[in-house]
Amino acid sequence: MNIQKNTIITCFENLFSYHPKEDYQFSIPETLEKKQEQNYSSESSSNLELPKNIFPTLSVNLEVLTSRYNTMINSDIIIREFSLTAKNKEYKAFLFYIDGMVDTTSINHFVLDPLMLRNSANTYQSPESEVIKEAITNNIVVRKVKKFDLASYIYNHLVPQNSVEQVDTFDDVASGVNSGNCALFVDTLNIVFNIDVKGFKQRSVEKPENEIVIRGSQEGFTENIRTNTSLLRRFVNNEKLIIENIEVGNLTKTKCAVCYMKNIANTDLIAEVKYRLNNIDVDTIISSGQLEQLIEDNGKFSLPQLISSERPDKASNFLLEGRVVILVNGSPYCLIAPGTFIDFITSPEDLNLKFQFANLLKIIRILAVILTLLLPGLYVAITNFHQELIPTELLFAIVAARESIPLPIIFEILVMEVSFELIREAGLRVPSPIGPTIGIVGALILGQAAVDANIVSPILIIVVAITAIASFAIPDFSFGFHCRIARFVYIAFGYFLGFLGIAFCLFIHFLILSELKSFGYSYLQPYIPVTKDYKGIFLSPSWKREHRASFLNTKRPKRQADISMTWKNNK
Amino acid sequence: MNKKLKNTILLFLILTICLFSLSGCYSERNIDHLAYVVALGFDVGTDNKLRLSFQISVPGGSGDNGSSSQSDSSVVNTIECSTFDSGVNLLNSYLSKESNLSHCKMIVFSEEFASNGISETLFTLMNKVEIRPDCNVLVSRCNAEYFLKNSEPVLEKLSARYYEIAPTSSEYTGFTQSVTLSEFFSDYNDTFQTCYAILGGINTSDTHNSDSSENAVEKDSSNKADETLIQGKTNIENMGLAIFSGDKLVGELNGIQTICHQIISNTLNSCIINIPNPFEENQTISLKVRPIKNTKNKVKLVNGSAYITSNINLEARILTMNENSKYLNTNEIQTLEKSINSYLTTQLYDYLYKISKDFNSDIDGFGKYVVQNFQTYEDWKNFNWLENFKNSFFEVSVNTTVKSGYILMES
Repeated sequence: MNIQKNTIITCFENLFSYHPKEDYQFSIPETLEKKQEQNYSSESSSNLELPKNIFPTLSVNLEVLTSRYNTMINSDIIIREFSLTAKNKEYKAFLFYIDGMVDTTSINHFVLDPLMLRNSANTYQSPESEVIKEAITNNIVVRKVKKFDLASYIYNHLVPQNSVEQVDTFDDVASGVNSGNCALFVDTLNIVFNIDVKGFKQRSVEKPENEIVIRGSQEGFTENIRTNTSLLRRFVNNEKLIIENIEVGNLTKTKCAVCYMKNIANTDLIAEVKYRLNNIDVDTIISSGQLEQLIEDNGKFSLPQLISSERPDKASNFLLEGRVVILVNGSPYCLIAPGTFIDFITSPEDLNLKFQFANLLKIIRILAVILTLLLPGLYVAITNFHQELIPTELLFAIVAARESIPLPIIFEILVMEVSFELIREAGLRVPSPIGPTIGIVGALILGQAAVDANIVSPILIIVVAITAIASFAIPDFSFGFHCRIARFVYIAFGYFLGFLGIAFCLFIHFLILSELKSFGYSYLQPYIPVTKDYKGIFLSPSWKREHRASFLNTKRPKRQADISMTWKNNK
Repeated sequence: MNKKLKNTILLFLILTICLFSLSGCYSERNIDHLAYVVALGFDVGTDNKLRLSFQISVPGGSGDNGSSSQSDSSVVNTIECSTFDSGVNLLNSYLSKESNLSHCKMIVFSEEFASNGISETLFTLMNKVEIRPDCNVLVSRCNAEYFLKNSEPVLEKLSARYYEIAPTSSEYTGFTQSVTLSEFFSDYNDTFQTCYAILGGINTSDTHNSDSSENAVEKDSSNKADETLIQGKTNIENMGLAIFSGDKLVGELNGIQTICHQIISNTLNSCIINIPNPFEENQTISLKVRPIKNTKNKVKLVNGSAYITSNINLEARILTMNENSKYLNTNEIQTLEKSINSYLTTQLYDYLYKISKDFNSDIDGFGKYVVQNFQTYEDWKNFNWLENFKNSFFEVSVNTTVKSGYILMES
């Protein structure tokens, strides 16, 4: 008996008592990481045998590439062998590129043309070696000559292309070719010309579809990172905008761009963003959504910690505010770090509107968050525990409506909430020509039929509908998702514990919100902790926004003069 | 132990503890399982002490097709019991649902029950958590069961709303006053004043005031509840106040007396009074009266009895017009002011001596002014104001400003 008791006690002690960590690490464990890295890559050790540097012999290079790219079975890899003429001498050479990624006219006119056709540039025959200096002493002519350098000759004279790079490893060649360049291999040279002839089909700049504003720019990001950076450049229009490239993904080597204002953004923030991006050990990154999950502080909660946007004007506003924008090649959504709670209920339109309108919208959005989170939970709690809180007439209306409903309220509300989520999900999946039908069938007919058949009460339909409408009023998609998930928790707690449960849940929710950090910034900034320039929840008039958000600790705290409208108050 | 597993178990344990042991599942009171009492009636029982009536709302009782028609019918259950709570208990054993008093809008005492003393009932009701302190207290001239059974709302669909709205008519008629349970209770416990309740009744042709001796001027406003000559569907009529001394009903006020009470105690919004026409005999003029300043009451103690002066400032607007009216004339207006003043002064003296000499019940709270003359609470208690009120004498001065009517006949 005693032994059993002891085992139970030790079991509980093991569970709940505090156990200090056994090994503390106060420094970055470089050795450990490296070890892991080696272990990780040793799985694909066969790759290590691949040669690294370019060989001077053309045929060897050709062989290496043939095997690396599996050209025998890979249909779109093109190797074009030819002889190029330089100074009237012929050299064997080949072009290596991927069909569909390159612009064939560029290759024809600006690469193959000047290299192959005989023209004044490649037939010009200077002496074998150029004499730089000549001195005659004792009838012996000493000539200092510059030897003919084929590489620089081709670079300087034969490839009339704006972006040509000389690389000397196969990895560099591969990364260039994979992104749409063509590689020019020339016999006897152990360097390769990486020529930019990108010409793939891509979407042009279009209207952003998911963040619609009325007053504001109608341009959205596209899949191409260069287009996106150019959009940012056009909005910011200042050379202090730095766009740094970082490749993420061991296999895909996805190009990511870290953009920030050098004279505004906090250096630590920039460093942190770059540190996180540089230290991601994954094979693939296809979209910014994947990247977001890999660089956010806390992945346990459904709260978004980075703002994602498809609007370059929104991104530029944040850039000029002192935040960092991350672009991912192939994704029309940028990520903005850090993201705080209030950013997710702020619409990009707010800055374009008069502050009164913006504040009204802000109140409505806060109301929407409260409604979408709490309304079904409150309804369940009130009808189960606190009927005396409802005005008598409303209570009688609810009771009358529920008179012949066979289901308990909790079941009723879960049925409706789940079917609403179903309609929402189904609405996304159906092909667009019949898309509107699902709304009509799902919402109107099903709802009406359910009420007529006495399965659910009309009051409940109103509750669910208000909740749904409120959830659509939240500007940020991810934050809306968070509210949708949390709503079910509130329903459960409201059902089991009434208002006590909802209060408990709110408490936990606030606890999570205040504990959460985004890139080291408290999630509830600037409200908790309050910063010195805190001006309340509402947006101040345009002429009064003198300071950048002080929690961002920017290098340029002031954004406008104390008197910004000098035309009016010029003394 | 694995840290992740430990966290999961911990979370699970916390949730289980919260959801089930802390849980209010057992205190759950689903709206579907409750019967809502909208009004309570207290009568004197035949065998037992108490005859309790519960008016229970049946939401959507007609409920065709299950659509949410909000019209409700209500049922009245009457129970003979010894105490209030045992009555509720008996009701619960009789009903299929649990009765709930938190939406009770009106507590009705019959005259007989009220004259026997309601102290115990009052404290029991205040002690009951479910009963809201803001429900109205009414003394009915008929018995409470009859009152509840015949209180069919005509203009409203919900009887709960009817009970809530009906007393608010006092705001524009002045013929009665909305009295809530908490006000009633606090007045009852006060040493400064006594309590009063709404006076109500069921208006039928049998109850109409057939006393034709009174002159035409006072005919309209001298009615009490259920006496007004109204032909219509049998209906509740709230008019006048029921005056208590201690916990016992001692008398009733009619419409005009209630107006006087509200003028003195500064609770009047506006009201319509009739005065004899000073220019033509046997004619009356209707006036819309509202106070322009708060009434100033002053109390002096003279030989142990209170000498109470009230200074009243009113504004009156002429409503009755005929083609001979010359209300732009200063002299006529002054004549009119004089007759209003004299009419109201008479009514006020009637009222004040009625509550002091007949009822000995200080419903206007003159005690608040008297208490200034005492230095300690002991002195005040020994003085026993509520007993002494009957020795008070009054002086009233009414100052009315007449504003002309809304149409201009001369220009």
